[in-house]
Amino acid sequence: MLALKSFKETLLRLLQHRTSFAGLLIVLTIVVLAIGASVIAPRGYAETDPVNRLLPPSGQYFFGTDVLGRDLFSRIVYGARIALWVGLLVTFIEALMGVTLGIAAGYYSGIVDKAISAVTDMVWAFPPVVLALGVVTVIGPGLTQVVVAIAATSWPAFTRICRAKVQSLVNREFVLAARAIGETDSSIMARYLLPNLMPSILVVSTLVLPSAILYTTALSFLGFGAQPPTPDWGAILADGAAQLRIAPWIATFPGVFIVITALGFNLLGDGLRDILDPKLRI
Amino acid sequence: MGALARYAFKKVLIGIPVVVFVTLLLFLIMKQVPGDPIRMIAGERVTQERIDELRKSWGLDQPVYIQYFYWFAKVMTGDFGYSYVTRQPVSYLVWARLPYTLELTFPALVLSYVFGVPLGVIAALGRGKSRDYVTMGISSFFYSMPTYWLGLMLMLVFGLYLRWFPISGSTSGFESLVLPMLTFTLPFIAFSARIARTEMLEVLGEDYVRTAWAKGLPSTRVILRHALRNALIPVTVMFFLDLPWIIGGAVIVETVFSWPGMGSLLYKSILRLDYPVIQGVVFIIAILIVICNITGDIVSATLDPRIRVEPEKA
Amino acid sequence: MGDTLLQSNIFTSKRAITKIQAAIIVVIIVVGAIAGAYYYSSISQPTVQYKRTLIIAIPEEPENLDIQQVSWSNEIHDLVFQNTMNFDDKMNIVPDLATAAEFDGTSIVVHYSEDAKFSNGNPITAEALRDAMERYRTLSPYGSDYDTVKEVEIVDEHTARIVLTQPSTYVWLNDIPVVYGAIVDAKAAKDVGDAEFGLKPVGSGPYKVKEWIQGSQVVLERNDLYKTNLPFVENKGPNTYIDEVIIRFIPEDVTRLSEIEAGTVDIVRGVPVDAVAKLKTDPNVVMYESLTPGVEYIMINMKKPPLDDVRIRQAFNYAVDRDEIAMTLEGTVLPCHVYMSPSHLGYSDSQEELGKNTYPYNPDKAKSLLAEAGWTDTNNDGIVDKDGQPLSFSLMIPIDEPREKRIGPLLQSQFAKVGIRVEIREFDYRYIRDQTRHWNFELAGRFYSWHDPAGILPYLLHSEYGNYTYSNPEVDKLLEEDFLGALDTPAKTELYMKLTKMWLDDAPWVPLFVNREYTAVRKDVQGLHVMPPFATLFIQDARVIAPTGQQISPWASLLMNMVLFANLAYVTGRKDDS
Repeated sequence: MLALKSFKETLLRLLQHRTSFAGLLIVLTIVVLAIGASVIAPRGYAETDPVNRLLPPSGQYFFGTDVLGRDLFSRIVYGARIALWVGLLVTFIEALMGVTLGIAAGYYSGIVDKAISAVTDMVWAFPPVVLALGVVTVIGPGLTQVVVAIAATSWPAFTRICRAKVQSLVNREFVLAARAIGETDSSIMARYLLPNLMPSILVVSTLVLPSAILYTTALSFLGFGAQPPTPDWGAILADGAAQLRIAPWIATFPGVFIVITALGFNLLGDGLRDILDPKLRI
Repeated sequence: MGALARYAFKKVLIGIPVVVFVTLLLFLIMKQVPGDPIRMIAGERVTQERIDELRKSWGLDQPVYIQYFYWFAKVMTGDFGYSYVTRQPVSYLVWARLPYTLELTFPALVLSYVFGVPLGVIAALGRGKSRDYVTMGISSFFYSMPTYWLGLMLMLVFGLYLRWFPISGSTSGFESLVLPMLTFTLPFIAFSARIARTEMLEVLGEDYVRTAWAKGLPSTRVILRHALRNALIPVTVMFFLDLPWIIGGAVIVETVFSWPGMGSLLYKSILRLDYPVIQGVVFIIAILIVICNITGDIVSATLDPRIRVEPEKA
Repeated sequence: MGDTLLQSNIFTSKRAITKIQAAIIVVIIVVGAIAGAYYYSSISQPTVQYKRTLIIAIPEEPENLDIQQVSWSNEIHDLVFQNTMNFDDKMNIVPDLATAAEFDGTSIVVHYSEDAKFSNGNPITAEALRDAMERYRTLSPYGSDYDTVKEVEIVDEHTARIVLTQPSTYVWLNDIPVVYGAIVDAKAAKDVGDAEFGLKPVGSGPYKVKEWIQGSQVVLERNDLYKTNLPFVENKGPNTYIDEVIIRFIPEDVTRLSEIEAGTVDIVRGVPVDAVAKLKTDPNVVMYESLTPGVEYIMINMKKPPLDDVRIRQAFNYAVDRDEIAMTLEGTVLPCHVYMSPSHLGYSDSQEELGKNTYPYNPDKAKSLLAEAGWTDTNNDGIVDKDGQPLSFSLMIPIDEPREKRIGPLLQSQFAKVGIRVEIREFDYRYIRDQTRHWNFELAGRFYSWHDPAGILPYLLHSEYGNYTYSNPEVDKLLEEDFLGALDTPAKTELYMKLTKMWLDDAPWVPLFVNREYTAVRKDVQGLHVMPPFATLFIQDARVIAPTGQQISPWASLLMNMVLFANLAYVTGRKDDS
């Protein structure tokens, strides 16, 4: 069962757990890169210098340059900012939507539950890329649009977990007691149910974030996401695909960073799950 | 079987309005999209009258609801209309490309489960030991990998440097299939391994398993079989839920490798606002999802008697 | 245990001599295999062998194979359909399907030979031409081409007179010598329906459609009824050296490049920018280069303030460093300051000179113009502003036009240097075209490609026909002169010189460059003609030399020999036993 652990205790166990420690390290590195981008990156991410285009990695250009002579290393470092920002935003929106719907479905049951579950199942089963493409077609291309599009596809992860948990909690004594003394539904949900869900929500968030990064970069890769010259890792990769033969570094490095970032969060999430809520099925 | 049949029938009844809802929503949304496909397909040297004439001939001058009604009615007879861009029947386009997607994704899906599930089970059984970490470590690695990047890297190494496989198109027979299928399969193996491991761990932690172990029942094999069977139920259900993926999930792989399947058709159609094609493909995906959901539910109900009694707790 | 598989043979026998024998056999066989492989592959053929299939790789799959149903044409249409007349390398109009054609300003007379036939055997007659033109008018997005056609008179079975409503060179220059005006078997189309005809059209070109594998390729087979009157080809009938032409759609630059280097395709169209220099030095490849009759440019929405201020538009023109663009595109484009290409009828070098002198690359001049218009950088953020508003625009870049897509961020930098912020949004080109038609844009990357300026510029720059945001009644009048009138080339040249001056003054566009089309052809392909204006491939005289010594691949023979060895070993082993 869930036991509410204190922050310190959780952190301590995180550091002891092998996978989550590795994950934490990676995540922190990326965060540092993102925050310190303007200091770490030797050049701006939009500085075109066509004379020096398509140069291989060297001491001067750590990851080489792209077709317009822009420094790939700088672009990737700034790209960390975008990846994290986008990931957090998407996860937050999804959590907001998903948790609300999940609690409602679990608490009210009956037709509310049926309706929400039907919609949730449908969205959950729909291939996310297709759904996101559909949304982007309507609202146009762009990074903000992609955030909305992806957020609209993966919130069921939160809903299902919350619904299941709420269902198991809703008949417990403390809830029944709260109802007996006349507390409102929303008060019960906020004061009793939500705190019990927080650990799971945290775990799910950590595991959903890398997904968000993977999907948003995928949409950028397809041309619907970040617009030039935004150094979204997926967009850089897409540019590099055409030069795969003569300048493979342009497509390789952004991918490496995407993998590392996603891996970091996945490992962290796995570790968190083992600590906070081992029975979580995700 | 009476209860099961009723259960299935109920699900189908819910499924139909869902399909209608999805396609209607799509239809309405498409009409809101900025950009007029008729104007878009008309070339450069065209007058306004010509554009109006073309629009009329496509029946696009009528109100939206009437258009949807005609479209749905025709779809019921199997007529998905004509592509704005190529003027070919949508059913022909889909029919021509469906086999390519299926030959790529279906084997990939099956293979991922065939390789992934045992991996997950092995990891679960060896929990905490090195094989758990190693398997899950590698699996996490592939799970964190963007498919398009994996595709490009495979293309780079095996296609361009080593020249073992063709890097795009489907014209070299089996060889062309290798790289796209590998790209599709590897992350999926990781995914199914994770799920299998989670389910297996869940079951292994159950009381009856612990009791049996405590009692020292002869073979771990017996336990394994029991535990495995119970763990495999949700895994099988996942398999069915993943099936709709075989149509839409291949969009990226097909785009990277120029694989002429439904995924790249959908992508191109969305770029060019070729509504009839988009609607047709989405309709098929929606139907497939409903079918797969129902099948998944039926399968889990058949395998797990508890579910039939309390279907909502599944 | 009974491992029946492990028979007593040289592997299991303990007799040392047998093992040595075995070793010797192994050495001999392996050496023999390798030697045999090399021997086979180095046999030189006494006579030249021909490959009977020509494989062409193109970047994009056509929408439809019926020329009357498409908005852009490609190599497949050029091979399946036959133009009534055609252009030679000097852009003279010469006979192709027609034995002759005359144009007197108000009517066009087309003569067919008596045995001219479609690929399905139906005769090509004046009536067939009339039916085809009728079908074009109703079906094609360019149907309005025939608005100036009053009627098609049947002079006799093989002669047709196209009567125009007024004197105009339009149909003569824009339909007759071009593949869009090629004749199709309208009767056959009626029989099978347009959808089916779009999969397997019937024309009179040198090849006909065998099959279309969606998303992959189109296979064409020779049309044995083909006949032409083109003066610049030697073989005026079917090409007996090439039985089939396979046209493969390969959107990836990387793949097209690999395939031509490996020799798995014979011709590549749309050679990617990065590959041009490399392929030019490849001894196995011959490169054909042609200047597109068209311009790539930025269209400006003149109705949207502050873009309605000519000084802003001029500033854009001064801010573009076209040489830097050409360098970034590896020299595959020609910088262009004007609205027409050197490949155009009516172009003259003095046009480009005028353009260059009017708007040389001068970022300082751009800045001063902006300042004149009231835009200066008051808050030191690098972007000029006025009344607190920064000078910022959205630029729509076509995601499917590789050159404009590539230099999008470069343009951004160049504009930023003079203080203008430009935000890029990438879209499908058709969408951009549509939005610009609806005046729903600020800046848009666009291009056009057509050999006759009268057949395209009115649709872009005339206030009525074009219906874009540019409107200048004097320009309209001049454009109409060529569009509706019948001008000869010197008059055309003078006219467009005048128009160029007006366009430069109004600055509705920022012309960027003229594209160079590259076609890479393997050395083994001989007799190919690549003709203006669109670098069309004429394969009537072509033949493909088969690479020598491809009888047996070395690996295959090695494998064969190893199988032989295995059998030998088995047999030897058995013998040993008894």
